[in-house]
Amino acid sequence: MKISRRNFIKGALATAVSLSFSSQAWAEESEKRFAILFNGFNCVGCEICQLACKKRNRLPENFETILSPRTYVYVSAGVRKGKEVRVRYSCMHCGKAPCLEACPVRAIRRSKSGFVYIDQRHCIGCQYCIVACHYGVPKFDPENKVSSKCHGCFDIVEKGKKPACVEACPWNALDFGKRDEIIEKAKNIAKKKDGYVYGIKEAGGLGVIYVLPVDAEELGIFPRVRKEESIYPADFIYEAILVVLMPIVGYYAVKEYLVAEEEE
Amino acid sequence: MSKLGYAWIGFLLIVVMLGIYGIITIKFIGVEESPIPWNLLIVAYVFLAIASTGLCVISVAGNVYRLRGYKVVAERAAFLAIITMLCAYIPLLVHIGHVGRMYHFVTSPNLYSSMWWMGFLYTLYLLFEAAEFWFLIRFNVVKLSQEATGIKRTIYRVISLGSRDLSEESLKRDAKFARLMGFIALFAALSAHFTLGTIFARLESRALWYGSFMPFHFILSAIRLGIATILLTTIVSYWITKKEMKMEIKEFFTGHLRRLFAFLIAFSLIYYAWLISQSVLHKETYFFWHLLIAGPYARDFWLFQIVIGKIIPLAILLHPSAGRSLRGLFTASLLFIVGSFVLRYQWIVVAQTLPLMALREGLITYTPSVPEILVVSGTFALLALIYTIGIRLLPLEKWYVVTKAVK
Repeated sequence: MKISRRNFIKGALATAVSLSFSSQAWAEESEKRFAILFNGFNCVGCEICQLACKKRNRLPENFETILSPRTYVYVSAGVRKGKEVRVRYSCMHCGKAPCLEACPVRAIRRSKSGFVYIDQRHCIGCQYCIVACHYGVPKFDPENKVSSKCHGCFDIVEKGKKPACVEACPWNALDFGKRDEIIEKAKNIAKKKDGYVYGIKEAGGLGVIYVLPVDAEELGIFPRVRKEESIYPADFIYEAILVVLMPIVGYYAVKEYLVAEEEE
Repeated sequence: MSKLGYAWIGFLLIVVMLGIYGIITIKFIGVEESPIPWNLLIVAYVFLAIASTGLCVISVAGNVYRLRGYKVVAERAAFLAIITMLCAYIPLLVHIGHVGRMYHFVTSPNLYSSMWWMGFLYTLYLLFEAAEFWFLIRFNVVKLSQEATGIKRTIYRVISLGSRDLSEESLKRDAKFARLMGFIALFAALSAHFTLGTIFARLESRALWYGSFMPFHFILSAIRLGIATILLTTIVSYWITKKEMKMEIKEFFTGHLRRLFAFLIAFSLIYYAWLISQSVLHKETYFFWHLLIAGPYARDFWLFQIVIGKIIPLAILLHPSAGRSLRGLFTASLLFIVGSFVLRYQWIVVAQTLPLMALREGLITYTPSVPEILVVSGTFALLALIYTIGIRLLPLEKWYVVTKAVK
C-alpha cells in the first residue's frame, strides 16, 4: 500500500491530536481514582504518618521537616493570618501530572488507582521530573542516582488496603477512599468548620484533597497552579510580532547578498 | 609550532585532566547533593547547545543558501558546530545519574516528553551536520592525503573514509550532497533547539522560564552566540597562525556580520525591556525578575548580563573605527560570550531557587561545587584543544574549490 504525502500528514496530525488528548484523559476519569483526604483541623503534627511511611518503605527512621529522598511525607506547621496551620506535604498525585509528561523514558507511571509512582529501576536520573513538578515533590537520591517520591502505596491500595500514612494516623486527620467521595467529605468538613478545600481542580485534580483553615493558595502555602488550560495573551502578541517582523528583517538582512550572488 | 603553541596545548591538556578528575569524583567517589536539580553542568550543556545551533545556522547560510560572505566561514562553522555539540554532551552525561540506562530512550520512549524529542533531534542534527561537513572537506582531505606522509597521511585517509576520487564529477556530487545534508541539518537543528527551549518553556511551576515565546527567543540567542563564536574563533586562529586575514573574510566580518550582530544585541535589549515590563502583570514572574534586578543577583545581572554582555559589545560594534577593526570585533564577541554564559547561568539557577512547597520563607542558595567547575572548564578546554588541532589539520578555508564546482 502506498501512502501519499497528504495522507501521511493527516495521519500524523490525527495521532498527535489523539495523543495530546489521551494525556488529559485521567482528569476526566475521576470515578476510577482514589484520593487521600487531609483534614487540617484534626492534624496535631505528631508525624506518626512520616514514621509509618518510613517503616513501610524501609527508609532510615529519623524525622525530617523537608521532603527528601528519605522522606516521602511530613507535616509542617506555621501561623498564617493568626491561625495555626498544619499542612501535610507529599506527592499530590496530580490528574495531569507534569512529571509523568516530562520523564523521557516513561519511568514515571500511573497506577490503576490513579496514584503516580516512579519505577526506580527504570529511571535514568535526568532530574527533569524534579524541575517539572508544580509542587517540587520528587527529590534526587544521590546514593542510587534516581528520583524518588511518595507512590501512594499503590501496590497495597490495589489490594483494597489503605496507604500506610492513612492507616497510621491516630487523630482522624487522614482519610482514604474513592476520589468523588473524598471530595464530598472534604466539602462537608469545610462547610461545618468554615475552612477551605484545596485540590479539586488544580493540575487536573489532585490525588490529595486538603481541608485547611485558611486559603492555602492565596497565602502562598501552595504555589499557584492553573485550574484550566489558558495562555497569557501577552505571549501571543510577542509571537505575532516575531512572525510578522522576522521574515521582513530577515529579507532585508540578506537582500543585498542574494542579488550579489546572481551577479557573480 | 612555536613554544607558545606548545605551552597553550600543555595548559589545555592539564585543564582537561582536571576535568577528568572532576568526572571521576562525581561519578564514582560521590559528591554532596546539589541543592538545585539542574546545576552548572546543565548550564554548560545548554550554553554549548545554543552555540552549536547558531554555528549550524551560519554554516548553512553559506553552504545551502549560498549567501556571499557566509560561504567563507561555512566549513569552519560546520566544524565548530560539530565539536561544540559533541562537547555539550559531556556535562550532560556527567549530570545524568545512570548513563547505562540511556537505552530506555529507544526501548520505552515517552513521546509527550520534550526531553525525549530533544535527544532524538540533537542526535539527528549531529549526524547530518557531520555529513555536511564531510562532504564540504572531502575533496581537499583526499588531496592532502596524497601530499602528506607518515601519520598525517593515515589520519587524512581515515577522515576521507577511504575515498580517493578527485574528479570534477565527484566535486559536483560533493557540493550537491553537502547542500542536501546541510538543509536537513538546519531543519533538525532548529527543531532540536526549539525543543530545548520548550523543555524550559512548558514548565508552569518555574515562572521565569514559562512562556510560549521562550523557544523563539532561544533560536534568536543561538544566532547571536553563533555569530560571536565564529568571529572570535576565526580572528584568533588568524592571529595564532600569524597569517594575514583574507580580504573577503575581513570585509564580511566588518560589514554585514557586524551590522547583524549589533542589530541582534539591540533586539535582545528591547526584548529584555519588554520581558521585565510585562512581568509586572504576573506576580510569580515578577518575583524572579525582582531577584535579578534588585535582589541578591542584581550585581551580576547588571554587570555581566547587561553592561559586559550587551552594552559594551554594542558600543564597540557601533563605533566607527573600533567596530571595523579585528581587535574591536574580538573584544566585542569575547565580552558577549562571557555575558551570555552568565545570562544562561542566572536564568537556569535563579528559576530554581524558590522552594515550591514550604511554609517556611527563604530562598535556596547555590554555589557550584569544585568538581562541577572542573568538569565544565575541562569541557571548554577540550573544545579549545580539538579546535586548535583542527585548524592545523583540516582544510577549513577551501570553500572556493567546492563552491566553484557548482557553477
